Amino acid sequence: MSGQGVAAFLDVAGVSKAFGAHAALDDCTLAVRQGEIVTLLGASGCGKTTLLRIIAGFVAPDSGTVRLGGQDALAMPVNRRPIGVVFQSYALFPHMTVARNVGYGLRVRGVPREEQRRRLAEALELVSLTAFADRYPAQLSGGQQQRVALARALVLAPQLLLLDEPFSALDAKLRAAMQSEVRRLIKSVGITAVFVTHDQDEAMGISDAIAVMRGGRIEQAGPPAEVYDRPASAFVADFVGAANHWPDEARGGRVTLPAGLSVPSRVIGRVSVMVRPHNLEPCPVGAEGAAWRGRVAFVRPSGPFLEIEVLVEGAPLPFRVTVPRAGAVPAPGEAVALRVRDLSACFVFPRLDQAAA
Amino acid sequence: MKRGARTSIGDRIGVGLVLALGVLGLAVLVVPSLIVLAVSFDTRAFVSFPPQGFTLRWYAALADNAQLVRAIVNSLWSGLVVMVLCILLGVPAALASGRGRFRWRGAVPVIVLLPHAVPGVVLGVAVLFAGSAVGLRPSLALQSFAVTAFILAVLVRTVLARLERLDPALEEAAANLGAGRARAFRDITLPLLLPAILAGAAFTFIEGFDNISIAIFTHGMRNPPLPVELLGIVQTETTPLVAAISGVQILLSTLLVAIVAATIGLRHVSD
Repeated sequence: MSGQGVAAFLDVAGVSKAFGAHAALDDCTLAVRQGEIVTLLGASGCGKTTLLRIIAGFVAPDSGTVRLGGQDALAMPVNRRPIGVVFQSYALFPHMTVARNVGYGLRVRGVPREEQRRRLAEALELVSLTAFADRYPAQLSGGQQQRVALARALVLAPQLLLLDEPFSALDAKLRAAMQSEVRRLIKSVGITAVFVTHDQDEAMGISDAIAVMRGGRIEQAGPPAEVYDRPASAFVADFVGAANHWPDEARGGRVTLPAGLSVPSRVIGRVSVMVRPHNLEPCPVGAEGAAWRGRVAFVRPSGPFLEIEVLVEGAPLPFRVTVPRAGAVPAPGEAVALRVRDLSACFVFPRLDQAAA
Repeated sequence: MKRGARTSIGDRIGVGLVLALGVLGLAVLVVPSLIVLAVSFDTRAFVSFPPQGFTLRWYAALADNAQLVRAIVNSLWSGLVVMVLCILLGVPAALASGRGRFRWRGAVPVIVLLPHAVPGVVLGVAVLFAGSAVGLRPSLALQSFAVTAFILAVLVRTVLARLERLDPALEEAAANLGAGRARAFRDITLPLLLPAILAGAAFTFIEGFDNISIAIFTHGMRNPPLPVELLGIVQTETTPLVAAISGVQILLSTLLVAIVAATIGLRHVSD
């Protein structure tokens, strides 16, 4: 994302697009710096794919501007934009070999034969598919197909790379491997990239910055840690990582939690106090400073952590608590109290119906 | 199911049933053609099964019969014209319906089916009357146009079915890689549609060759197509000559299908 004084390389300003009565994008603004990997994160229908398709030129916006490297991208025809796209389906040409797929853009653009050969070889080398040059896409695994799609886009040395849910067709294990592989590749080439995904783990793992989208707008944009630690809205807090909701009332700029704990609030009236699972700590009932009491619903190991679900008295939904897998493990049915580790890492938002959903 | 793996009796009965139905289906499709072929080599001068002996005299008689040879040539022309017209009209119609942005694009596959809503004979008579109203006399051309209108739906629907299964992102990918619309069509869409176009074209050719319900009313009086000629022959002729004519047609159809299969089979087309 663009900081103060740094000109954005990709500059999307005030872009709107409606399909019939449905507003897919509503005055959407996004700035991406050169060399940055930005992820558009949101649920299906939030407009993230439409925004990607507008940048690529497959869809024309109703209003707004898209500038790339200072130039008006919307003025360039779709087949003249210096933008590479990796499609969700990869869209490899099934009747062409890997080499012909990757070389297609070079042939279409009339690159001299000798240079075609050299760049094709480089691109195949980059994605370690030299040995597969004569295979057809149907003869490749999902991960290999994805690398062909990546090579096909990168061989033209575009200024911007767009990737539409590129990992959604891969199984979970391969997905994690390909995410770091693709990030490494993009960084090694140094290209500016925009990902689209609905998967917050993927967004966290691959991006320099995340833009959380909702209802055709960007709700918050910033580095992953910032979006996670300082969510701008209840929606973002909920969408990026898990959050527990405590309904309460804010008075005089503060919310007073049980046990007399006080959290500052910028809003007044009905609020929802949101606490991340790792910011909660189980402790014996009656322990000092414990804000909530409840009963353990179940305990689930999750890697080096334990996820504990606690039915908290007075909360509409069970709380999720994440603790390191060490020490005493509470048993299901056991009464526990919950203590907030860091009060400054609690967020207070106006209470919305969907914030509790 | 692996060979030797334990199977329940129910499974066995199921597999047996499927196999039996398959064999039965195949028999219904293939056996009549085989019988006709066998009869065409019969030495006796009447149609009977099983045949006796082996002779090519009925094929020789066919080659000597100028009227029949002419009818076969007429039908070949009709098949060719119908096929070419169907490709020229049907591929753009399918593309318009599958990729167009106009409001009634969904109506295309329905409109092309309309000629199938009336009995073929009625359609033939209708074309005859309509043709004479605008000064078109029965002819090989009128017959070909009428059969084209009738069978166009097969090509449109075959191509459209393939088009609808093509990932629209393929064309977008081509554009993204620098191809203009014409180039993308030539390099990507057309090669991927070709199997469907060929399959549809084969069907339309066969219909153009073999149609009788429309052709009987619309053909040129001095240029009857083979089915019309055959209808006349089977009413009077009882020799295996008719079987020999069928033999030639079976050979032509098989050849056509083989060409299509070979062309499609040589392409690495994945779905």
